[in-house]
Amino acid sequence: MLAAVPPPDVPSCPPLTWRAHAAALFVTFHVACVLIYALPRPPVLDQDILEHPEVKAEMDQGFGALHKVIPWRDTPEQMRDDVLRVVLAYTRFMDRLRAVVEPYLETAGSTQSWHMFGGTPPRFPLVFVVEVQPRGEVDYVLFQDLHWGTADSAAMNFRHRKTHELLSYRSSASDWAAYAAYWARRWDEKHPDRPARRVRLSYERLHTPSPEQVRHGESDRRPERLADPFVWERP
Amino acid sequence: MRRCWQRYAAFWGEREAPDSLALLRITFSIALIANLLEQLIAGNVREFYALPEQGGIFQRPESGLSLFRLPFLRPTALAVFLLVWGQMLAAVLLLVGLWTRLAALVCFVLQVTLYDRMDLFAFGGDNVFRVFLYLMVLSPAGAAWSLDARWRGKGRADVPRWPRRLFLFQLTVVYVSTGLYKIGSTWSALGGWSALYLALNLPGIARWPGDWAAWVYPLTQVGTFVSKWWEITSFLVGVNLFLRRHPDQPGRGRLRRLLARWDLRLLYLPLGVVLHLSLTVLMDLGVFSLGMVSLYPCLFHPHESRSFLQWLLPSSPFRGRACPACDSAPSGSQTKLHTSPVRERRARP
Repeated sequence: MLAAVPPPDVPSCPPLTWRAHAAALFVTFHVACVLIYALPRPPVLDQDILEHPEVKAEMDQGFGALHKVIPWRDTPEQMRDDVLRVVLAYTRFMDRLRAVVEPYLETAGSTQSWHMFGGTPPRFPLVFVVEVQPRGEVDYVLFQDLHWGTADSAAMNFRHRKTHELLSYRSSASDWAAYAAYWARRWDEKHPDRPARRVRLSYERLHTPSPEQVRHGESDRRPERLADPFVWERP
Repeated sequence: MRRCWQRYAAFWGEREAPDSLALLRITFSIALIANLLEQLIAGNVREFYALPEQGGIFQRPESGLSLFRLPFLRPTALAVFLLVWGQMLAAVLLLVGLWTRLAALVCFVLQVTLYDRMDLFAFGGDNVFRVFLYLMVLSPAGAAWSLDARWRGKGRADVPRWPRRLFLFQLTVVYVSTGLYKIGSTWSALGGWSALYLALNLPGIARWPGDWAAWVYPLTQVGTFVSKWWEITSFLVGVNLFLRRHPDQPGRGRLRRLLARWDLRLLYLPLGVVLHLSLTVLMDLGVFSLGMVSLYPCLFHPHESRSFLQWLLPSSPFRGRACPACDSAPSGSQTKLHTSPVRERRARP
């Protein structure tokens, strides 16, 4: 379908009208705003996120390897601190610029960040776990087994997985409570005779085996339940 | 300075036949309809948008242009269904090109409203629809291959080229910034180019347990390398199109001539389709890939889009352009459309 030669309808140069000038001004303004807003920046940068196992593992591996190639400091940790200082200054500068263009982009529905498409896939992926304690019972019952291949996982809309990811790092207690209440309703619909009293939401961390390990038959993902689950009790 | 601005404004003021914008309108509205159908068929509309007491989940503040900021409109179950079906209707009107500009505006405002309401459920594909719908509002996308052109006399021989260029710019921003975000060690030799292998081991996102990827690990490494550098260098397609604008003026400079020598779309477009097809097969990401590929017509020249549409819709009532003169008409010239009523434009000198 694509032509091997450029099109015959190459534009002529008509005299410029005021509309052409206005279009050029508008396009320039829009392009500048989008460029400023869409320039890459770290989504979160604080001490807590640096202690996150994923981020820590990435930093350790990245700066360890870089230190072997270009050791501008004595240790990888010092090199990491240098880079973080620069990134922090860049982020502050970008934040100031973004604040200038944000009103227009908000109005135009064009605020944008594309880091969700490009981020580093986690080495230790999280699986969301939903457990319910029915009224009058002592133990929690596993309600949603969201591991690969389970019926619960197959029935789960992919957008819920986005929610699970967002809940893990940018949400409030009220979001957790709302999500737990939703699962309580789902449980009640399925088990009208055993209504939910409490819902426990937690994560299970998996370890991704290396390709060599898998090929040697060691594909255990060593699931480990994270401490500090969220427990919601029906009022 | 004045002459520079004149040349710059003339560049943005260039005109072209409307077929590429028409094809873009058609493909993008199909993707938008698929996005809505996906939510309706899965039965998740109330969950995503309604208030908790109305079958929804989250109670979050709305922002931006959201219609829910209007004091009389709350995200009740009825309201969210009306908005989703309203967007569906507007998307169908956009597809057939009836009241095109109004349909694009309605789609855009509803997309912003639903996106803000969705919040914790929103993913990158929703972002793509929101951002590109704004550009659709700015575009005269109903000037050809539309019922507006056929029935309402809104057909035009040429349209400004800058809206299509803005689509191209925005598409480039999406790909290049996505590529630049791939700075983690697993996207490089430092981490053994293992990013795709890790992505194929993400429970839920990857469609199947990822053990199989270990047996084709070198292939996943190639995939990691190609996808990262394809994205980062995708701006070259825009540069290439710019440099090849005047085939009779090859330009000065060796680099300039080298960049203009081949049509880079022949490399980048098929690769993009393969990458998105692979994503769709291997990962559960909704209609994200369809949404992205639906934007590729912004890279087509009008005569290419016209050939494609004529092949696809040989006897369609939407066929608004069939005159041989259009095929060779320079942009900005006065050309009559033979098969549809045309809004007459003043002839340009």
